[in-house]
Amino acid sequence: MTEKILLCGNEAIAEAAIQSGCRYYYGYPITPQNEISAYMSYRMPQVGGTFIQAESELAAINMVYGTATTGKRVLTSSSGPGISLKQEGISYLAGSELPAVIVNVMRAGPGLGNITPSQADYFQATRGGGHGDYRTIVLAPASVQESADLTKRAFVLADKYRIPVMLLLDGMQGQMREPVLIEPLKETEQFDKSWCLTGCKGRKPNIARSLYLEDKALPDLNERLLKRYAEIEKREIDVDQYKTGDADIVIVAYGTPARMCRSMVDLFRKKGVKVGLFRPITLWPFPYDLLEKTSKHTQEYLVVEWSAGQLIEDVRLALGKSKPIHFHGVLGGRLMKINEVESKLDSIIANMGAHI
Amino acid sequence: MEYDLMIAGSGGQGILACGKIFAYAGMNENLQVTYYPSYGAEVRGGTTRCGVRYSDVTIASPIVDSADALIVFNEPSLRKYISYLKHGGMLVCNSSLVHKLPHNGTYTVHQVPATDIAIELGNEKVCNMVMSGFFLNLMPRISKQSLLKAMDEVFDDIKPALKQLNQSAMEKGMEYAG
Amino acid sequence: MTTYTVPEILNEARTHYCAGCGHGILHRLVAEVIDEMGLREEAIGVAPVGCAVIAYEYLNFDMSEAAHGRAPAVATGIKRSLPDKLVFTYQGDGDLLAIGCTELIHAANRGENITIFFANNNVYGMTGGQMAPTTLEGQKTLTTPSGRNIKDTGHPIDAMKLLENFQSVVFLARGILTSPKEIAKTKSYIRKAFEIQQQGIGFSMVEVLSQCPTYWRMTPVNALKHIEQTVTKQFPTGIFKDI
Repeated sequence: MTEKILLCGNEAIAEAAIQSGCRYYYGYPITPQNEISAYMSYRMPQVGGTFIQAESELAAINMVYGTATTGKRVLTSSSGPGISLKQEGISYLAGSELPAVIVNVMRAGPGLGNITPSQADYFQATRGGGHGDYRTIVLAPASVQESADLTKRAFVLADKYRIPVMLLLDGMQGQMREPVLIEPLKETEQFDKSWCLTGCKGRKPNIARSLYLEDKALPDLNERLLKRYAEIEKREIDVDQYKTGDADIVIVAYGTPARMCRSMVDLFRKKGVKVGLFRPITLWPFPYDLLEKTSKHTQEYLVVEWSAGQLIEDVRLALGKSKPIHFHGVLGGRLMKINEVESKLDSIIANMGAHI
Repeated sequence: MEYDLMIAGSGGQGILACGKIFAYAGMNENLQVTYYPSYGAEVRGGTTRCGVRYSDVTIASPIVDSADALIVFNEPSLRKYISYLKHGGMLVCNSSLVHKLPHNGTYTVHQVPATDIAIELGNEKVCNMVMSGFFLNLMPRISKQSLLKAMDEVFDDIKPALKQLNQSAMEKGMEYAG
Repeated sequence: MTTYTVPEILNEARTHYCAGCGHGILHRLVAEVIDEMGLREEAIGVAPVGCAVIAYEYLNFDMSEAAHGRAPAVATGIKRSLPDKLVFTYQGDGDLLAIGCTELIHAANRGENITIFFANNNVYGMTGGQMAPTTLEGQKTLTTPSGRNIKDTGHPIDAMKLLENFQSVVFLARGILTSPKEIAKTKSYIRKAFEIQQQGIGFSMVEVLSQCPTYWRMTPVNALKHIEQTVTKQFPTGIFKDI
């Protein structure tokens, strides 16, 4: 695509996947991400790809596993309850060192919850909701354009590190429409595909596996994974810092709340208060060091998230008890409004006294 | 420039399509624009709404809670969403289905019998296009050309006859606004 | 006189299977057919969770593991990506008919062009001998100590009957491994199933009634007799569907 079109976040992800060379999509319907499978159901046949509406999220993630063993780019998407079902498969993908991209368009929980937007799956996404010692890269876009751009990055990271990558959006980002430009992914790296299942012509058989019964074999796998995770932590951390360089107050937020908070930075700077926004784009690996660096000059922190307090735990890990960390959390089932953040900032500033 | 629009009616009246058209039209005018629908469990009936925000700068939130204009297609949605209209805003009503207006409103009211006009044209469903055309004349930043292009972009897979009907309905709405 | 040697398609490993287990024979049959069809380099197998979980230690071609019950979904993903390869799953009764029943039914209904080999030994072997969906009425297992009570646990599930009405299922057969004659017959079913897949016709499955002397608490010889005299009464052998 060479011109801007108006897409919702869900459709933008789907088209960006196509433009990344993904030709396999497997999914099961769940609101608020249904536009992805609807889009793929007509778009995949146009590009000679495969779309299957699977019988369940379990089947979908395991179809993903199957295609991933062949080394081809593959996508699935769901929302909270469905992602819970996919966790088994995500753990297997991680254990078998397979690349895949999984989208979670978060709705409010727990349980069936409801279909309104939420960010309450932060723990599940960043801590690995499945079993075993593993990590998934978690990318958190804050606009429709960024949803498309990070989808492309997700496929590259998945191939580069042979790891499942999750795109984490709140339901509002999935549903919101904005102009977006989605160009084909420019491939700059060649990825090793010698491990793929392609039929063992001219080589020893390849096995896609996460079961290691032999002595030392499983510790070896875990050490290999740990090394890879350390490499990802070193190279792939990404954060959008908006006017944090001189900020007395830093807001930490991701996704839609971060977008809202960005306008608060401008509003309060006009009032003469130095506010900044620290928006992690990679939720794992989390930018702990970069956030800690701001504490040299920043006095107070405000975490804004669409959940009861999940992101704030990473902020605490970064800052310890060195600085006050305030919290504004909107619980699932309720929309977040900008003026709530404004009031919260007003009250923080009122209590800070004379030092700004 | 910042302009917030809310469109509300009952499920099946083409509310979301109307919102998408105005969002697309804003994009065609090179504005920053967001479109956000309400999405509920019901597919037909009930009230449905969407918000379109226009701006020259990056839009912080797609939520419209203080609309410059509220377009309502029926009376239940008027009652439900009138509180989202800002003081001095513009209320646009489908007078075929909205008979009772609130007293003492601090907004201007514009009325068009959109359902009646649509029925005269032979298809009640193009009510949303009548409303779109009517509102177009009240909305300074969107040109007719941008709206027509937006209609093609949103209804990219319809029969020529329906496309023609949509366009006629839009023009009838514009004519009614005068 | 025929001398049996280890073909290239089988690794020279000692299997971990119990004495008298049917898996070793079934592995060899699948391997021999692939070899005879000249498809070793085209084959991709999917191993289950169950006794055959490390089938890839014995079969010398590309293979994938699958989470418990999900082999038909994994095979779907592989086959859709590589439609020209010979893709099969090898599953047990718990994997296929308990935890993986949904994946089985929907892969069959979609007419996925894959082959499933179903080793049915009426018991969960890997976890210590619990009741399987195919455990016979009255059969004693770790979790049916007084024998399977059908009022409480339902009847043994017949995979052939379950699948034969699906229009997209092309080939269904059930064999046994109790004698050279039966083994040859079962091998012919395996070959037929693979040929159907090669022709791109659709979903095929071969069920094999396999013996589990360990958890049947029988000698290997008595286990074979048990299959011929008892198990085949519940699960008759033969071709059930061949379009």
